[in-house]
Amino acid sequence: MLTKEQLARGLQDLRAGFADWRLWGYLGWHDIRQRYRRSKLGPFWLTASMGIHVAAIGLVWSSLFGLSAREFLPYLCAGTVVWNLILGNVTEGCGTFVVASNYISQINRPVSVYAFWVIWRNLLVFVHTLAVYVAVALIFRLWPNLNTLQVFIGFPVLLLAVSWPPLLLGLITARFRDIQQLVQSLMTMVFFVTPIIWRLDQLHDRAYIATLNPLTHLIEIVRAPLLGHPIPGLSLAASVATLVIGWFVTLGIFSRYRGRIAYWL
Amino acid sequence: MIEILLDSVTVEFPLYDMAGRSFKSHVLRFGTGGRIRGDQRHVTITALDGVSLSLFEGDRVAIVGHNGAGKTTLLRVLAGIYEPSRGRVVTRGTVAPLFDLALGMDPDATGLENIRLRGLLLGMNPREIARHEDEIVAFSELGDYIHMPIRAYSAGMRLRLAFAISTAREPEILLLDEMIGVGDARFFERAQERLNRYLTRAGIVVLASHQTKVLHQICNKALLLHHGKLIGLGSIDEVLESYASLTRG
Repeated sequence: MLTKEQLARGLQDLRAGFADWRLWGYLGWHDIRQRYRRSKLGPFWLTASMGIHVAAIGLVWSSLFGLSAREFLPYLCAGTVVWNLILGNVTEGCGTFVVASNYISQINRPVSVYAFWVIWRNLLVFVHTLAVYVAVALIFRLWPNLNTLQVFIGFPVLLLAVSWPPLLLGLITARFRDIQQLVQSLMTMVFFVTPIIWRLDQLHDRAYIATLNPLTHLIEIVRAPLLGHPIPGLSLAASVATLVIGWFVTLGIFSRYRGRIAYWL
Repeated sequence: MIEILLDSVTVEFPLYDMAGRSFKSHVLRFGTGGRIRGDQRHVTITALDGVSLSLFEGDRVAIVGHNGAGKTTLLRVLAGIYEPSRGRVVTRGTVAPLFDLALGMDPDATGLENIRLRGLLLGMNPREIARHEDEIVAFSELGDYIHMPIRAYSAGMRLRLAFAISTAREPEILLLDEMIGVGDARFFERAQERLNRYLTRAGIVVLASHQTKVLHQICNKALLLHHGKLIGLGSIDEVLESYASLTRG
């Protein structure tokens, strides 16, 4: 069972890991630069591929649904950008400790460093892709209004809510290697049942399918203000719940098994 | 104050790969000195068994023992990488585990970037790295190569760079798994000199090795591990003698 001492050391690991921001900050940047080294566009490939993706899907889907591009493209783009942040933290989060196994077995840094590394790298990717949304908003003359400011509530909640999967899933995957495959195939499925390339109101009387999905709300709390709408109360509540419950479970399991990670790798 | 205290430390490794269990356990029994225990469902290897010891400032400790006696595991416990299954570890002082000099070095990054990367991994802050940078570049004799990706380096150049970065800062507690190899003959002398200085300045040095000559040169104390148990701790001559008699059987 979880002892007080274990919890204290788990929290200490998180504190010390966060304080080591120079290391994970550098490693995160380094990954991004590395991935696009010797390419002309560099990290802006992230921006470019998001742009291509949104343009292609947007044109096809808006005709399928009979929506105007002005109505659909900003919605699609904002949703996709946020979805990618969640997807990255969840799928790459499974590999947090497995990928860092070399480091973990050779140097004595707090293991949470490797989770912050994953989160930071995905945040950097997010910033690069967000540029596409800004461009789309400019093209369709979607000007910011007072509701846009709510993004400063929605985004921190989203970021904290996607910060526990790299710790929790990373830990579970270190022990049970099947988890990564399972999570990857689940996320492919979840993409289609989450309102990103379609809208919640198109589900009519089956809207509950999406409403029960916490990712619907996590996306909505950032997408709504980006599009100039207020954050729906239900979405904010559901997201805060995801954040609190997720971190609660993660803190318990992480503190209990943190010391075992080096043995599992 | 710099010290390391171990109080009846036991380390047990779980083995999860059950499919190959019987074959694996046979191989392991012959191949290593560790003991394998367990029933069909839960197999553990006891790598360290109730090890207690205290090391203080000025100690230069050799770890000796057969392959699989627990030398590397003990070093990793001292480094804080493995939390023991039972027992307690107390370390006072900054610990530098130097097990793999090239850990974290990226072949596609330039020499300078690798200095920063490796420096951060070793626990230096950017100011310290900047302070040591010129000296590292000078010592590794890379000249303008320092601005090139290290995949363009020869193996010797890479080793020189890794060595120069890893020994830039003097730690309080230094842990080494086998002595650092130092490259070509020309570089050897300078590296040797630097290494000696580096070793003398560290508060505690723990070195696991099979090269008794090197151990005699560096260490003043030794501990002997056998099947995960500490069976000898004392002066280097004494312990190496009992290790030799253990080997003779």
